[in-house]
Amino acid sequence: MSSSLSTVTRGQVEDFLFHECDVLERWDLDAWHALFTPDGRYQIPTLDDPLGEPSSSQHFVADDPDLLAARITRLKSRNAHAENPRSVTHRLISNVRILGITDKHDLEVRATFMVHRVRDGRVDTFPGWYHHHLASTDDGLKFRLRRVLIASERLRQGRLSFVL
Amino acid sequence: MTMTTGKPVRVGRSGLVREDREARIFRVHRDALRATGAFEAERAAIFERSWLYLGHISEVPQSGDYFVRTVGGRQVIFCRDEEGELRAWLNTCPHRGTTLCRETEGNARFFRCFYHAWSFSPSGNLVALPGADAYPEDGTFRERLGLRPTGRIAMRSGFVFISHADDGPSLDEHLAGAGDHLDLVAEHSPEGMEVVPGTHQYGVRGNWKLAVENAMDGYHFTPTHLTFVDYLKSSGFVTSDEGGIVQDLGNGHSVMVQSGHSGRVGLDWEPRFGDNEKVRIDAVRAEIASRLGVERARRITDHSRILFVFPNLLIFDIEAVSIRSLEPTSPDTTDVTAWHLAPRNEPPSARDLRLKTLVSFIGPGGLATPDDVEAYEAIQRGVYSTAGDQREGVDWNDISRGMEAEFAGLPGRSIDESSIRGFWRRWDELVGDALGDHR
Repeated sequence: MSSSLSTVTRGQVEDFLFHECDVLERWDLDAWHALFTPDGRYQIPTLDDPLGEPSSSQHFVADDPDLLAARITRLKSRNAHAENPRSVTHRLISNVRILGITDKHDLEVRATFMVHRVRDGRVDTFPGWYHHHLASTDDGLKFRLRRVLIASERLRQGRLSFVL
Repeated sequence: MTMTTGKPVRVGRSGLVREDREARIFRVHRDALRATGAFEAERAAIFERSWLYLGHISEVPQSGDYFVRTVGGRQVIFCRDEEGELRAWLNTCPHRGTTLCRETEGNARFFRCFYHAWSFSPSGNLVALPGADAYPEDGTFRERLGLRPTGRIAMRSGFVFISHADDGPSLDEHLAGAGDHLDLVAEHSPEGMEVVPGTHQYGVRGNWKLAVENAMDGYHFTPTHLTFVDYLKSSGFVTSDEGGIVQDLGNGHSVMVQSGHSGRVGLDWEPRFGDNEKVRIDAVRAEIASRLGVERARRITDHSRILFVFPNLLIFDIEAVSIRSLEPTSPDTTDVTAWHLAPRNEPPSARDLRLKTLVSFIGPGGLATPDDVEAYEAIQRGVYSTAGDQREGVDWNDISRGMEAEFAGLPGRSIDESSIRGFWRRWDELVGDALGDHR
């Protein structure tokens, strides 16, 4: 895999991230789940410990494959009250960079984002950075680690019930 | 359970809480959740007077360690001074009022105001300033211009509280029956407890009292958290609302206790925790029993508890331990801060399991808390629909569930609303006078 990784271009990474935005804006949760490797993880650290690891630092989200599947099952239910009705989300991604190859032979990717979340008569903004590890598979790029750092001193809106 | 005697129809002092004991009707006027007058009255009567949770002793282990937190509407520096004493200073320069400490946390030998370079020791003394020769030589200005403390600071079992008032009941008097439950949380480990890195800091668009109601409300669990209950079932264990009890602990505090609920990391083994953890938990349980006796050990290891310490502290001693503080910022908004508390020196694998287990449930990104937040916010929007409506009973919330059992003196069921009534009775008692002629 690592040989093909070295040929992945920033354009290919951007296409992958833009595709993910489209999938999430349409709430196609099964398609989103399919963007992860079988051992893929989704993490959001806290605002005061952005470099912490889930094994030693409390996170907002620390999904292993089981919890990720549970999150998706939950969000597909009408009883996920915090997302019924679902938020409208609007996503901008920029400053995409390939930093290198991780010791597990994944692409280390960084990007900045601005997500607008529209619900309950309000628009909330969530600025931040993505620190992803992407695997190159026969089925294209996949998230081995999808990590989200939020640029904020306090979450102004305490419901990260949508996918950020 | 507190049994109050008196007239069958009791209009509380604030006019916002009404109780008809014969008809078994308990109501709270929705102005209590949205009116500026009610907010100002509770700020004066509760948050300016009561003991308020500030932080945990483990957060400031070394001299000079500090955190800046807003508690009861005032920004406070929580620190350990050069003598090792815990201190709580109002975060303002005594000279001209500048925010003294502009970082949120750190370690400082001095707090130095950038504006005129006045420096204060963590024990509050004005130790250096440029051009001291322009003040009287006797140096009395230094005593006059030391850091301003909060009214009082005190600790129970590692939990540090402040009061903005310099008089009133002691912390232990205030805590009443809640003190023993704080002790139980601290007694999980002979090595003490510590706050884990990573703080949940988030805003909620709901009145702070809705967060209290929610925590003391076992009735909402199944309908609100249906998707979480489904997840628990799918991962191989069953949870039940039955058998939970609530107790009034005095002074507005209360606790909800569940036994045999759903496993407690490091204390009460479940298959999902794995075989290695079973061996470790057996040893932990034996240690607690030898240290505290079998009966008290059982309360620590086998009971889950949600403790409310009036007015701003919730402790979720459930699968793992979460400390949550509530800071009202307006009638319609609350800042929530939540820390994970764990035994010191536990093995990394146990810490990992603890964090993973709790985060699945709790916090803004968990599988359950967002639905609670949705409830507070939906209530906060909802109560404006009846604002000003004078028709009988329309602009009131109903909190009457289980009054029959309460007055029969039966143990409070967690799926009833007796704890919520206890909270509102205390709120009404304190806020009534301050609210004056509001209604």
